[in-house]
Amino acid sequence: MLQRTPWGQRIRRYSFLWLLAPAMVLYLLFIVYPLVSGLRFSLYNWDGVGPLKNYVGLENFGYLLTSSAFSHFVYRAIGHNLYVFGLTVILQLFFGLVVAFLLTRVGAARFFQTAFFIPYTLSLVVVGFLWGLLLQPQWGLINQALVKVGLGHLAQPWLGSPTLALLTIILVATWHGVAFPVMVFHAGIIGVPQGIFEAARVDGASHWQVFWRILAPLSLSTAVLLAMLLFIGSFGAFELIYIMQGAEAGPYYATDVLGTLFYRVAFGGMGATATGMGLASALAVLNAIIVMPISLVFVRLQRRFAYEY
Amino acid sequence: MSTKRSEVGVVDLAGAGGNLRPRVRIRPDELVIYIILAVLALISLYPVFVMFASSFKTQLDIFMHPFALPSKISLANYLTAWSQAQIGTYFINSATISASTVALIVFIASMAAYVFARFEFPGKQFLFLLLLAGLVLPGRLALVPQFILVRNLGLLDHRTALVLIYTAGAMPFSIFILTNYLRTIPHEIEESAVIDGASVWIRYSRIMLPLSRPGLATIAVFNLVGVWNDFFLPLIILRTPAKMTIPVGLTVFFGEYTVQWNLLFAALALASLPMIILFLLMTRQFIRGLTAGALKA
Repeated sequence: MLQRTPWGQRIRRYSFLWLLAPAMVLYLLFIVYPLVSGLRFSLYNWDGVGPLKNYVGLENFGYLLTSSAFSHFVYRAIGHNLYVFGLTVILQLFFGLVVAFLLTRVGAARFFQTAFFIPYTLSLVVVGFLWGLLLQPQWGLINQALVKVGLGHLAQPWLGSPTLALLTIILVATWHGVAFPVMVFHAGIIGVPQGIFEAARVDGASHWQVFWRILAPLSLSTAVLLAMLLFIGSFGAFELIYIMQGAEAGPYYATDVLGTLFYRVAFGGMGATATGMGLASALAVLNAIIVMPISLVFVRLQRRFAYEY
Repeated sequence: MSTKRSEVGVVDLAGAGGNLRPRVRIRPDELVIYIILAVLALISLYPVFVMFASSFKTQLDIFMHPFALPSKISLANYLTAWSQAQIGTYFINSATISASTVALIVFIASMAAYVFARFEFPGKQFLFLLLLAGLVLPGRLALVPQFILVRNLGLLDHRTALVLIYTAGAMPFSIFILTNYLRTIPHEIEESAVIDGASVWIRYSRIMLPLSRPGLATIAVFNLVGVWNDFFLPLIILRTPAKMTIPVGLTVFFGEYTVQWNLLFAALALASLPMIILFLLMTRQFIRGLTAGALKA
């Protein structure tokens, strides 16, 4: 012990840091550095070729938000993202809570849980292609089923109609994703002290009353948390739309969201109107500026509605 | 969180009526609930069922008798899709990338979590905040720079790039989950090893790692599903079809075989089977893994 220098002692004392090194090195290089670069790139008019050049300050953001050539793309995309969120949050929270509640009222919960979860294990690419085939206007199963039950007049080119396309994709996304709120709500309900339900039952409360008077208020904080995740997810939407409608987010950009717009700006498809890694980074920064403060509001709300048992 | 508790909960609630008056038959209100759940389960499962059923049919059968069951179970579509149409190559690529990524994540995230859970050192708070930033900031912000970085490292069109970026991206969530898990392991278990003078590495690999298996399973499942199903990153990084993963490979496949629906369904079935089988084998770990994020928050 005596002959060891203080410096050597220090190294020995912190030798456990070697265990931390691989994780932190990878994380710094492939996540933190790119995140910081993303902020920096957004200030350049740079096409991605050669060294970073052409500093333009906030001009990219001006182009995104005020130019007559391009800003309508951005606003339309943001509008679609909001539409996706609004509808998704209603559908998924409603079905999520109702199904989770029903699962706690019957014996065979495990079987139904499994059934609802299977779509959630599929990749969005598979979901997009599968429903693309099912919704195909002539041969797809959906229209054929409508014809078969005598509702042939309702048969639609679901994905080809500018008014229906985004709605259809939201329904497909809900088919895939609703298992998540079901499971989270279900875990939440199980966490509620069972005495509350016992008491309600003894007092002769109906399923309906238990749902609205006890479960809905107690699940409010979970609902807000899920709404936040759905908000982040809605503004991250890309895969289903890219698979079902292509990078151009057809028909006539009726399904264009920030994700597909970002993809075209960064990796081609916008032509001369808007290309470049600088502009794409600015779009990603804008996306973050929309998502992050609102997520924070959700977190605040969630805390307020949380119950302690 | 724990499975035991959730089981007890389900049984309690389901049996709540039984405690007061023994249940002999299904009450009418329960029947209604069963019917609603059955209809919803049918909506959930039928499209998946159609995918598998159609994957055994001939092209003509799919178009002429879309609702019928396959007249005979033939693996012809699978064989064609697997070998002739490269789905086999994509499948093996996906399997290799997913397996190596998950192994790497479990290994280095558990080491880091061990340090965060058991040691104090200057800068710990800062590193934790740095990891939190990775959870809070949208990944899209990093995509363009990641693409440029990969290009500058000469890793464009290399599968290694995917493994590295996936692993790095998985660090915040995996480290947080594992750190929380390791904190629940009593210090006493480690103490005798400390007294015996066991090195940090020995304490990590011989004591903590075996004890943290349930936590490791959670992050393994979570990341496995994420990597197997990921689309954006391979879409921008891989160029050569022979290197593609299943999700990007499917886009190539759907471009080539647009009208051969029998092959398309077989390809979709092949892409989905591994996760469905894994899910059915380890339902509990799956549900826990995929909902872990929301429940921790």
